[in-house]
Amino acid sequence: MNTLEDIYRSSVSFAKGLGVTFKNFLRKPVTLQYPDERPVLPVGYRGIPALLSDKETGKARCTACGICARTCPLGLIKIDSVLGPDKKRILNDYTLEAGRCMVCNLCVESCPFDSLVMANDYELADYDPDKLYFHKDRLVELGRPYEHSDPFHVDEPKKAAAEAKPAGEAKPAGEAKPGPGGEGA
Amino acid sequence: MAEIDLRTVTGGDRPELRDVVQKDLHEDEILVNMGPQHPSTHGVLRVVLRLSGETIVDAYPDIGYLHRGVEKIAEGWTYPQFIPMTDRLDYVAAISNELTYVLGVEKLMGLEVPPRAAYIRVLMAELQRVASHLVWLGAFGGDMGALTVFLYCFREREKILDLFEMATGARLTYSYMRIGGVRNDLPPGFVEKTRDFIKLMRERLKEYDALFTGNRIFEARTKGIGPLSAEWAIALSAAGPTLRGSGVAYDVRRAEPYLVYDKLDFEVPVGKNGDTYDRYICRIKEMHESLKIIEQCLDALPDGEVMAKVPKVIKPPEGEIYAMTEAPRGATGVYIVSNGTGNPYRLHWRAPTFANLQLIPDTVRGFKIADAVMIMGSFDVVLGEVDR
Ligand code: SF4
Ligand code: SF4
Repeated sequence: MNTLEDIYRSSVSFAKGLGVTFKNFLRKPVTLQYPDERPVLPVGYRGIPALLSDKETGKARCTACGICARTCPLGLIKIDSVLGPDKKRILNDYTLEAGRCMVCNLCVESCPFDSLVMANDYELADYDPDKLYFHKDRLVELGRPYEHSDPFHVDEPKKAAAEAKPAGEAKPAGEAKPGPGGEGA
Repeated sequence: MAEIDLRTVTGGDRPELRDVVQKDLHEDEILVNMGPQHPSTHGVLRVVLRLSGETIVDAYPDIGYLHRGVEKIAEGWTYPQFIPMTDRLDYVAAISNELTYVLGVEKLMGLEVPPRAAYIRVLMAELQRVASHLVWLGAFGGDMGALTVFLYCFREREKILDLFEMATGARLTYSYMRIGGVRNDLPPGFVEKTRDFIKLMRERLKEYDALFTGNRIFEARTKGIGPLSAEWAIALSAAGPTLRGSGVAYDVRRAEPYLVYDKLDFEVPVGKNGDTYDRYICRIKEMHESLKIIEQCLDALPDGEVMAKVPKVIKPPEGEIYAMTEAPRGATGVYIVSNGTGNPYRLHWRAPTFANLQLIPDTVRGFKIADAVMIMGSFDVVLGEVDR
C-alpha cells in the first residue's frame, strides 16, 4: 500500500515539475545577444567617472581643488595644476586610474563645483595597461554628453514650481526630468 | 619529516590543521579535500573530509582564502570611504551590509534619518533579501543536480538587479546607503516597476514550489538530512534561516527593530526539525514575507528628504557601538570604536555565515558526500563575508 502511494505521489510531483518546465519552454527567451543587442541602460547608470565641461568654451569645469582626489578611497585621482596669474589654479592634467576604479560614485558626490559625472560607457577594456590611465582629454570626451553630476537633476526654478503646486500630490520624485545621456554608450 | 603517507594531506599544510586532520587516522579512512576550488562550496571554502568509504567520519573546514583584511583597511579610511568596501563583504547581499554599517555609524553619531530614507532603506533591504534567496535557491538546486531551477531563479533575480540598477546605478556593488540617508531618491517609475515585479514574483514562487516542494526526489534528498537541534544552533550562535529552520524564532527585525520594521506587518517563519528541508522552507516563506514588506513600504512611502543634515567631515564622538541588522543570511553586526577622529579606531564585522560555517562538521557527520554538498549548500555560506 505504501509503495503504491509512493508511486502515485512521485508521478504527481513529476508531472507537476514537468508542467512548469513545459510552461517555461513555451516562454520567449530572455537572453540578450550582447554584442549584437545592447541593454538599455537606466538613467544614472554608473560606468566611469568623467569630467564635465563648460558648454560654451568646451573646457573642463574642474578647478583643481583636489577634493575628489582626497575623497577617493583608493587614491586613483591625480591632479596636476599650476598657479595662474590671478592666483587661480589652472588644470594641467587630470589622471584617473580607470583600471582600478570601483565606480563607487564618492568622487562625483564630493565635487563642490559639479564638474564630475558618472558616464555610462562600459566597454573600456584595453590591451595596454598604460592606456587605462585616463587623462584629461579622454575624461572630458567621456563627459561631453552630460550636463549635471546628479542624473536625476531637476532645475531649481522647475523644482520650486513643482513644490509650489498642490502639496497633496504625493510624488515629488516622480516628476524628476530624466537626466542626460539615458541611452547609454 | 617521517615517511610520507600517500593517503593523507601532505605538502604545505599548516601544522595545526595537518595534525588535527591526521590524528588517529584509521587505516580504512581516507582524507579528501573538498575545495577550495569545488563548485559546490560556493566560493573558496575548503573542507577536509575524513571518509570511511563514502560516509563522512569528520569534516574540517579551512577558511581564509579570500581574506582581504577589510577590518584593518577600515582603520585607514574615513567613515564614508568604507561604505563601498562593505559591498564587498557579503557580495550577494551588498545593500544589507551597507545598511548595517551606516546604521552603526549613525548610532555612534546619534543621527536620525528622515522617514522617507528609512522606508527606502527597508524597501531596498527586502528586495535584496529576495534576490539573495533566489541566488541561494538556484545554487541549491544546482547542488542537487537540478540545474533548470538555477536558470529560472537567475532570470527573476535579473529583474531585481534591473530595479537596483535603476535606483543606484549599479548591479552588484551599489554604494547606495549614505551616513544620514540614501544617496538619491527613487527614480521616476521605480514604484510602478516594483509593483509589477511583486506580482510576477508571486507567480514565479508558485512555480518553484511546484518544482521543489512535494517533489519526491527533493524530499528524499533533503528531509532528515543534516539535522540541527535548536540548542546546538543557539550554542554556536547560528543565524538567519539556519537558526530559524531549527525552530528558534529569532529575527533581529523582530527582536530589536531598526528603521521602520516595528511599523510593518510580517511573520517570522520557523521550521521544526532543523533539517535541510526546513531551512529551504524557511527561505521560501521569507521571500513571501519580504514581498509583503516591500508592498507595505511602497504603500506607506512618505514624502520628504532622503538625506539628513550631516556635517561635511564625519567625526563621530568618542565611544563604541554595536549595531545589528537581519541580512538575508542572518544577524549581521558591526562593532565600531571611535576615538573622535575621521577614521574608525577599530571596526569588527560579525558575519552570520562565519557562525553558520562552524556547524558543518556536526551536521555532516555520518552522511554521504553527496549529502554534505546539500547540507553545506543549505547554510548559504558566502566566503567574502566569512574571510573578510
Ligand atoms: S568612483 Fe570611487 S574608486 Fe573610482 S575614482 Fe571615484 S572615488 Fe575613486
Ligand atoms: S573636486 Fe571637482 S573641482 Fe575639485 S579637483 Fe575634483 S573634479 Fe576638480
